[in-house]
Parts: sequence; C-alpha cells; structure tokens
Amino acid sequence: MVAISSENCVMTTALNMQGVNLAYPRERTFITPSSSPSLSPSSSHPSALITLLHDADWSLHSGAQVALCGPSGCGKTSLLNMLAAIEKPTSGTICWDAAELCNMNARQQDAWRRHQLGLVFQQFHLFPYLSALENVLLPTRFIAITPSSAQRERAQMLLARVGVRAHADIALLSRGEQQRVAVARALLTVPRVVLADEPTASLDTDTAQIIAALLRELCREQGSTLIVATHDRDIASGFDAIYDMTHGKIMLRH
Amino acid sequence: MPNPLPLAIAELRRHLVGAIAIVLLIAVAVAFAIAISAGERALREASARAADRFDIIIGAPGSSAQLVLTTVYLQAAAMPLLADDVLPRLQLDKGIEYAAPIAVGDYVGDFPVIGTSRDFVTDGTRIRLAEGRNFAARDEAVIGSNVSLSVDTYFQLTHGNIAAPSIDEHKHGFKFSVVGRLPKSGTAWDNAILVPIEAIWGIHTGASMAQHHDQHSVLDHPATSYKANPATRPATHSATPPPTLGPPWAADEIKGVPAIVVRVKSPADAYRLRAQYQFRSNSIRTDSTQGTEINASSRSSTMAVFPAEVLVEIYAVMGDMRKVMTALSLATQAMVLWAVLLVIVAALSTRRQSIAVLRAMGAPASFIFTLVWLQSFMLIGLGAALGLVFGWCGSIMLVNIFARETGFSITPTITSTEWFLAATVLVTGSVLAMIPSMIAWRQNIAKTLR
Repeated sequence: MVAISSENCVMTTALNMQGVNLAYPRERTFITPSSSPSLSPSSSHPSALITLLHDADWSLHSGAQVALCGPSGCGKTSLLNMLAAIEKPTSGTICWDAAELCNMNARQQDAWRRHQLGLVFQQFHLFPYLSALENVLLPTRFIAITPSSAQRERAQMLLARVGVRAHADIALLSRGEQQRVAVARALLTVPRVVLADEPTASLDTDTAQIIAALLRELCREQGSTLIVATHDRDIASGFDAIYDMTHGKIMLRH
Repeated sequence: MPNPLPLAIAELRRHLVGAIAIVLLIAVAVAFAIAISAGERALREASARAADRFDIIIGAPGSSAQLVLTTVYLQAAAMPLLADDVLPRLQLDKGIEYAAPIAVGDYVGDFPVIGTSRDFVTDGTRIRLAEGRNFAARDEAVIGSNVSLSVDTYFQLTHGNIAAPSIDEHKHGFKFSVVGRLPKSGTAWDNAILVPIEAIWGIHTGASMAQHHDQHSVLDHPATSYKANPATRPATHSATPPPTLGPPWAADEIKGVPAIVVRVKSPADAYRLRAQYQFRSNSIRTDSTQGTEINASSRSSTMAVFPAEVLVEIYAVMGDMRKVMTALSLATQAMVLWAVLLVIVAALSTRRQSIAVLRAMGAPASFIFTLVWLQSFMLIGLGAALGLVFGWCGSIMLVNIFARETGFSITPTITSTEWFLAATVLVTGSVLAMIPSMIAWRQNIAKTLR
C-alpha cells in the first residue's frame, strides 16, 4: 500500500493498522468510564469491559515523526504496546512494512523487536550496574556472544552524539543524561521503528525539549519512523503531526 | 548466539553481599557432608593400616574390641591377664614367627611405655630402626618417632605414671637408656616407648631391685655422659652376667601378660592358632579330697582375634553412624538448596521490571531463562566448589583431633565419593534452578511494564 504525503512525495507505508479493537476487563483498568469521556463500556458487556480502541485505523509513512496525545488512561501505552508486539489487540491487524504482527508467534515477535524496533521508556529503564556503553550495547547480547567492533563504534558514536561519556556510571548521571543513554540504546541497531512512551514526562521543561529534539534528529538521520506518546503540548508541537486518541479512535489533529 | 553471562555476572556483583551469603550457606552444607565422608574414610584407612602388622592377638577372655584397641591403638584400659602357661605354649608352636607379649599401662609423660620383646620391636626383620639399635638389656629402650627423647639419653620409669622428682629412685624407680628410635609408622606406636617385658615384670613385682643393684654402674653415671652402647658400658661391680632377654621365657619368669601378638608363618597357621586359642575352659569337677571345684581342663581360657575381623565389627558401628550423619547432611543440603531457591524466587519480584524491559527490547525467552538460571547455577556451583575445599579442611581438622588422641598420622583425601557428593548438589540445584527461570521467562511483559 502506498501513501501520498502532503508534499506529493511517494513514500512507502511503514504502519498500517486496520480495524483494531482493544478492550480490557474493568478490573484490569484504573479508570471508570465516567472518569474519561473517551472511554465507553462495551455494548456487549456493559459492566465488564472497558474499550480503549474501537475499529481504529491508522497508517504512517516510512520515516514519519508523529506525536500521540491523549489524557492519562486513554490507552496510549496500550497502543504503543500493540505497535511493539508486546500486547495483542482484541481484534484487527497491525502491519509494519507488510510484517503482520498478530500473525507472528512469540519467537518471531521477539526477533522483530530485536531487529526492527527501538524503545524509549518514561522511566529510562537503564541497568545501574552497567556502564553507559554497556547499557547501549545491551541489545547486542541478544544476538551475539560479544558485540562486533562496528557495533562498539556505533555505540560510542551515539553516546558522543548524545553527550554522555562511554564509561559513565549510570547511578551518577542526571535524569536527562540517563534518558540520553536510553535514546542511544534504542537507536543502536538502526531500527525501522522507534516508539517512545512519555520519554520526557519525568524531565524538566528544558531538558524535555532537548531530549525530544535529539530523538527527532537521530531518527531522521537514520530514516526511522518515530512515534512519541506525550501529553505535553509543547513537546508534541515539534513533531510532523499530532494524533489524538479520542472516543476509541486515532484522529489527526489539524 | 545470545550471551546473558555478562549481565548475569553484573547483577550478581550488584548484590554481592547477598550472593556471598548464599554461596557460603551452600558451601557449609556441602562441607559438612564432605568432612564426614572424607574424615571417616581417612580414619578407617589409618586404623586398618595400623592393624596390618598384627596377625593374631591373644588375650584373656573378654572384649575383643578392647583387646584390639589396647594392643593395636594403645588405648590403655584395665584388662585381665593371661595365664602364665599361654606364652610358653605359644613359643613351642612351629607355625609362628614370633609371639610377643604386650604389657601396657606405664607412662613417661604422655608417652606410653610398652613392655615387649625384641622381635616385636623390629617385627621380625621387617622394620629397620631409624636410629641406633634394638634393646639388648633390661635397662634399654627403643622409642617411637614422635617421642621427645634422644638416643643416648635416659629416663626414669616408676610404676604408673610420671616420675616425681622426690621419689627415691633407688627404692622405687628404674632407669632406662634410649638405644634406638623406630621409623615413623603413622600409628599410635610412634608415641610409644618400648622396653623389655622383663623390665616391666621386674618393676611391677619388685624383683627389679636385684637387677637394679646389678646395674648400679649404669646408674652412677649422669645422663649427659651415659652412652647406651653395651660395648662402652662400664664394667659392673658384680661378677654375675646381666640377665638375658627372652624369648624364650620360663614359666616362673612370666609375671602376667594382658596380650600376646603373634606373627604367623602362613594363613593356615593363623586360622589354626585362632581356633586353638579361641578357647574357654568351663569344664569343672569337684576335688573329692578337698571338696573344692577345680578346672577339669589343663588349658587356660584364652581369646584369639584377627584384628581385621574386630575392626570390621567396629567399622560396622562407625558405618551405621556414618549413614546417619550422611542422611543428616543430605537433608541439610536439600533444605539449604530449597531455601536458596526460595530466596532467588523472592528476589525475582525485584527484577520483574528489568526482565520485562529486556523482553520488550527483543530478548528472546531463552535469553531470560538462561540469565536467571545462570545466576542460580553460578551461586550453587561456587558454593559446591567452596564446599569441597571447606570439607577437605574440615576433615583435616577432624582427623587431627583424633590423631592427637591416638598418635595416628592421617591425611584425608578427596576422592570420587566427595566429588560425586558435590556434583549431586550442583546437578540437583541446577535442575531446581529451572523453577525461577521458568517463572521469569513466562511473565507478562505488558503487565509488568505498567
């Protein structure tokens, strides 16, 4: 499938999400339908299920950099989990470059995440007993006994780009520096897709802007499709497009 | 190929104190079993080795175990004396190499003084003295390798124990000169002082006073200048020659022997003598003239034992004890392993999020399984290896305590039995370590990341 951007350039479609439904049992969520206007109980199980996505479609071209916004509890994290093949939708299809995630078994999904996906978490999730360089090189341990020299060079280059010393002690880094290391880790394997779930939520305003800009710049350089979930309007405004999760749909904000 | 090892090591380093505690716990449990196994085997081998030179031991009827303990291991105890006719009768048997009386009960300091014969000292011709020569007179002695006396010095022996300085030696004591030293045997006999049995008989009956005065030229010389070589011994004042040493011994010369060690010429002779001297005289008749009971048999009651047979019975008791101790140690190890795994499972709860992050980043389930399993394996493996070392050290401590009491020279070794024990712990722990590994592997990523 081919999408045509507003600039009339022909680009390949990276993400093609169609008819996705996501519903949780009420006891699995921390919100009730009345606390969020975007949520409504399922019609078939009005008191048992909370629907986060209802027949949602979404497509993005390769290399797109978009922000995904919505109030807390609207399902941004769940959507990103589905896009990362960490969670399965209740129904529907999710394709990344024609790779149908829902048709993959667990091993195939692991492999897809390993080679095609970079993740940046809100709480960084670095390993404090490893140095900055070892944290960045962590994904290489999933596929090889030792990192190759090319991978080491790339890790050191990324750390230099984000401005953190290779042998820095993670526990001694500031929150902003830790998130920079997390960004470098996410980009080590040159993933096709980078997903960031509230990467700046625990940072101050200035640092948040720096991190967001860094993420956009590095992803643009390597042509990765970037989706950042955020509730910060200032951060969102720096992206090519802003999508809102509302009423079970993903809507482009004009 | 995935490599979780650096991550596993880094995580263990992060919790170093806890990891060391777990390793030590496993090591102590393994060491307990190893020490028991290696120590018991070393003791058994050393005790069997000590009994090698004793073909048959003959004593008065009683406890065969005590007879062996006293004669072979010099564990002194009150023992009934053999009748005076036994030793002369044995001397006439053509199937023996020698029959040596063994009299225990006297001491010089902590060193037991054993009255015996020249044949026993050199075990026929099997033992070559490390220093000096065998005793040739009643006032000469041969000492074991650990005895803190020197050749060409003398010591005084009184009946019982240490010679008190105030004792009038001319009335109660008997001086011996050390003429030779035995080579190290690794048995209790390394601590022994061997003197002629005739001297012991003399001391215990007071008949030594006559010999004592015959040898006064020996006693006149101070210890530092006295030479033990009979060739240089000053001439005695008496014209009578010094008493000779047996064998043979006349019946009236023998003043009671608790045990006789017999070296036989062949195994057939051994079994024959054992059967012959395993005899209890219980045939009684009444003397019609005196109205008293007399023993109808002309032979005295005796007990003849193969030390090896008695040791087998003693080992059977030790073996039962060892089984109990082994069962206890295995139960301890099982409990320790189980406790360690519970700790690992509990610790997993603190690592759930980091494991979920790894899975989200694309770590295969096998990576997570291997990561958690490797950490458990390293702790258990290191504990088992340390346990082997600690167990060997523990067995050395155990046998040293025993050796101090018995004079044994014992060196415990780690054999396949101990390796098997440690390997069993490692294998069992490795299998049980799959439980927390599977728990970690199967956790839900999305749920954990929230």
